[in-house]
Amino acid sequence: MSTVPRLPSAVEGQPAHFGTLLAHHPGLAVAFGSTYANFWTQGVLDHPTKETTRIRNARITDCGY
Amino acid sequence: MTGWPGGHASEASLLAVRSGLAEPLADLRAQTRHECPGRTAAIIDARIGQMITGQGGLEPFGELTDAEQAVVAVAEQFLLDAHGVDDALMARLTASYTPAETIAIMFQLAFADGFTKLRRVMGLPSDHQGGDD
Repeated sequence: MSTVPRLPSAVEGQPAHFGTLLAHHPGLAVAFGSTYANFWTQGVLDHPTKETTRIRNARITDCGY
Repeated sequence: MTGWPGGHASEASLLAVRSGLAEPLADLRAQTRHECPGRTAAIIDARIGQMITGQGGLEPFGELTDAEQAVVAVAEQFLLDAHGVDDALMARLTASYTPAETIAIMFQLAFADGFTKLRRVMGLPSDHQGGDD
């Protein structure tokens, strides 16, 4: 997996990362943020279970988050 | 495959259980689809759907452009093993599409991959209007 971003940052002076890449598409960034916030803060599943699945997924996919 | 054990017979009814999540998620999916250039969203849905379900395919699209062929190549590798989406493959994509278009395409890929697999695992039919497969 490449460790070099394959798209440039959309924010001048900021390095390329998920947020600054998504900034190329402000509409999608807002919609993604709203969805992601709801996913993490609402629902019947407890937070440790959500976090456990997130960490496991990140390890398998070499995600740095 | 049998149906979803909670008694849901469709993706829509399953997602409706979390109405607060279903709404922003539907908005995100619709925006993503809308922002994908040309036929790319439909091509991604068709190819991912074909690879996961064995149904459908790219024949209805006729001859694909070089840019669309790059989208298909990335989609296939994304589904099989995302680690294999290398610099050369991504360069084919970014040679034809702007960063904003590339991001929309990659989001569409993620939705098509994730929700098609979700439906497959849960034994749900494809019922999402404008769907991901």
